[in-house]
Amino acid sequence: MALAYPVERAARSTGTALSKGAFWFGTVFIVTIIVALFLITADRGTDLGWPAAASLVLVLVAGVIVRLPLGRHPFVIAAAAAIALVGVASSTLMLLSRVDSNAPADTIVFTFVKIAVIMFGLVAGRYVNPIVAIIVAYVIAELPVTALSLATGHPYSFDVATSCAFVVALAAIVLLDRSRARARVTSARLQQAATEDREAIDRDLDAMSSSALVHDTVLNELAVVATIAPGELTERAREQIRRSVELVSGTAVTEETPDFVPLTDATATERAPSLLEPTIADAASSGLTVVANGESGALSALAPDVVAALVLAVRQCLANVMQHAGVTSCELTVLSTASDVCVMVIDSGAGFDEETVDPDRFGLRNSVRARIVAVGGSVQIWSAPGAGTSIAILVPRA
Amino acid sequence: MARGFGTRVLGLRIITQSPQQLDPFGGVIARVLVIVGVSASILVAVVMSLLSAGQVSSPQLQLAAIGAITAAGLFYVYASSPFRAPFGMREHAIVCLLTLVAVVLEALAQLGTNTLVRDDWAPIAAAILTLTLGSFRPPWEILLGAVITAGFIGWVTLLTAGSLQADVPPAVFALLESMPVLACGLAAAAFSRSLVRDLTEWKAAPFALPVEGVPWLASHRALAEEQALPFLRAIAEAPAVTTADGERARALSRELRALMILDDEATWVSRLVVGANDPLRLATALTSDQRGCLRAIVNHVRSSADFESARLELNFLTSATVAGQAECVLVISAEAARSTRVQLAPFAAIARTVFADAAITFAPDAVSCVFRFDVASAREVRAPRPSASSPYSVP
Repeated sequence: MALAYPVERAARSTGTALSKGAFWFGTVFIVTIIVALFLITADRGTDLGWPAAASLVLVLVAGVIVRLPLGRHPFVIAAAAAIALVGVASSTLMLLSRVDSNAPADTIVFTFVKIAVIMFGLVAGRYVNPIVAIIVAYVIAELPVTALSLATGHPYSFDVATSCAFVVALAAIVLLDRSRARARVTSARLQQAATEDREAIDRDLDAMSSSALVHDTVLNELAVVATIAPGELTERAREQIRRSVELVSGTAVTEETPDFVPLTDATATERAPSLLEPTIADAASSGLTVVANGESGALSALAPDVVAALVLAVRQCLANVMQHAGVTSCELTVLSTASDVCVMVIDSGAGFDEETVDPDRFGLRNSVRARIVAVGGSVQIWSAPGAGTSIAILVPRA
Repeated sequence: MARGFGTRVLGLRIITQSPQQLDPFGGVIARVLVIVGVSASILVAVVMSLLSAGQVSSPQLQLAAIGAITAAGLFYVYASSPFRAPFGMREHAIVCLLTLVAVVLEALAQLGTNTLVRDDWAPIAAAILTLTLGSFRPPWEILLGAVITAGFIGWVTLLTAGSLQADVPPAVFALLESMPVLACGLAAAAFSRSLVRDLTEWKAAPFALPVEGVPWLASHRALAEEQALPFLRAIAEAPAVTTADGERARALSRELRALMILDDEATWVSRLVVGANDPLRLATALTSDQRGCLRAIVNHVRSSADFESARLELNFLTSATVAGQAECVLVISAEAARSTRVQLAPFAAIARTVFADAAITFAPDAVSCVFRFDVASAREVRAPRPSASSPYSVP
C-alpha cells in the first residue's frame, strides 16, 4: 500500500468532496429561507410565502442542475446561472416590496440566498475554473439585490457576511491549490521510499535465501572435501557435489525440494504425505533415527514454495541434531490448525544457548529461520545447555 | 463503489474512520484551512463585537465569550497538529463544548439588549469551525456535533428572543441563528463522506510499485559462483581429492562464511543509516508502511537543504514501558532551521498513523523521532521447553 494518496487523485477527490459539501451548504440555506418565509406567512396571514418560495426554488434548481453529471457542460452551467439570476432577482423583488423602505439590502434573508448562490458556484467549479465560477456566482448573487434595492429606494449597505463567504470560498480554492503543490514534493518522497523499501527488502530476502542455499550446498560440499582423506571420492559423494553445483548455478533465488524436482500444485498435493520421508530416510542413512508422528498429510494444504522451504528447514534441523546434539534419535511431529501447519523437531541432546552461537553458524539462522520467515512463517526455539532442543516451525496454509 | 465502505450499525452504514486516518497527509493540508478558519472565527468575534457594542449589556461577559471562542480555536489548532494526529472524538467534543460556552456567554452578554440576530457572532464562529472539520472526523460525528450545536443555539435564541426587534415569530430567529451551523455541519459531513469513500476505494485497490531495481548479487553468492562452484565442478570430475584440494576447500569455506556474515549484517537498516544499531534485529518486525515512513524521513533529511549538515543516528531498542513493543529512535543532529518543523510535519502525521505511537521532539541542535511498534507477533518468545507429548497450541 502507498503511504500517501496520489496528489492528482487527491485533487479530484477533494474537488468532488468540496462540491458535494458546497451543494448541501447552499441547499440548507435556501430551504431555511423558504421555511422561514412560511413561518412568517403563517404568523401574519399574508401571501408572502408562496411566490417568494417559488422564486427561491428556482435558485435551488440551479444548484441541483450544476450538481448533476450534466452540469459538466458549459451551456448547462450557463443555463443554471441564468435560472439562478432569475430566481434571485424575482425573490428579491417580492421580498423588497414587503419590507420597510428603510430596511437595507443586507438583511439576513438576502444574505442567506446570496451565500447559497456562491456555494452553487463552487459546485460548478469542479468542471470549470473554480475561481471564475465563484466570481460569476458572486455577481449573480449580489448584482440583482443591490440594483433592485437601489431602484426601489432602499439604502445601500455593504453585505459583509456575503463578501466574507465569497472570500472564504476563493481562499479555500487557492489554499488547496498551493498546499497541493507543496504536497507533491512529500508525496514523491513517500513514493520513492516505498519503491526503495521494496528493493531493499527484496535484496535482504535474496541474500538470506541465497545464504541458506549456499550453506546447505556449497559449504556442505566444501566441508566434505576439506575433511576427507586424500584419495578417490565415492560415486555418491561425486553425485552429491554435482547436484549441489547444479542447484546453486541453476537457480538465482528460488529453492527446490531436496530431491531437486520443482514442485507444482499438483505434485505437492500428490506427494504431500511422503514429502518428509526422503529427508527422514536421508537422516536414517546417516545414523539418525527419526520418530515421526502427527498428521503428515497436513503438508498437502501448503503452497509449493512453503513446502519447499519447510522441507529444507526440517532437513537442516535434522542435520543440526546429527552434528551438534550428540544423540542418535529425535522426534518429528506434524500438527495442523485451520490456518497453520506446525512441524516440531525435538531432541534430548546437548542443547545450546542461541545467544552464544557463533555468527558464522548459519544453519539455524538462515537455513531454518530466514527461510521460514521468507514464506510468511515463524520459528520458535526452546533450548538450554544440557536440556535438549525443541524447534517449532509454523507455516501458513495456502 | 468501495466494498466494505463503513460499518453496519442497526441496519445503517456508519463510517467510523475519518479522512485523516485514511490519509494522514491530507490532514496536514487540511490543517492550513483550520488555521484560516480559526483566524476567521476569532476575527468575526472581535469585529462583530465592536460593531454591535451598543447591544452589549455586559462587556465582561462579551470578553469572556470572545475568550471562549479563542480557546476553542486555539485548542483546535493545537489538537489538529500533524504531531498530534489523528484528531479524535474527545478533541472534537472539547471544541464543540467551548463553542457552546461562547454561544451562552454571548447571549448572556446581550441579554435584554440584543436587537438583531444578524450581528450575533457566536453562531457564525461556530459554523466556521464546524465547516473545517470535514477532513478530521467521520461524517456521522460531524453531523451529530452540528445538530447538537445548532439545536443548542436555536434554544438559546428562543430563550432570549424577547428583545429582538423584527416582527417575526421567535422560531424564525431560532431557525436563522442555528441554520449556519447545521449547513456547515452538513457540508463538512458530505465532504468527509465523499473523501472517505474515495480513500477506501484507493486503499482497497491493488497497489503495484514501479520496478526500478538493478541486478544485484550478494557478495557471498558472487564468490560461490566465481570460485567455489568451478572448484567443486573440478573436484566432481577429478579422479581423486588431493591434500591441496582439502586446503583450498578450507580456504574457500572460510572466505564464504566471512562474506555470509557480512551479507547477513548488511540489512536494509544498515544500508539506510550507516552505523545503525539493531543488535536484536527488531527492525524485521516493522511493517512495509513503517519501513516506508522511516525511509521517507531519512531520504527527506538527506536531500533537503535545511538539513545539509545533518548527522543521523538510528537505534532500535526494546520498549522499557510497553511489553511486546520496540522503539525505533532516529536522531537528526542539525542546526535548527526555521522550517524544520514544517518540513517534518507530513512525515509526523503519517508516522502517527502507521506506528503504534510516534513522537517527534525538537531541540536547538537535534530532532528526535521515537517510533514505537509491535514486535510480539514477529519475534519468537523464549519460553520453557514444552514436553514432546504436550498438545501444541498455535498462538
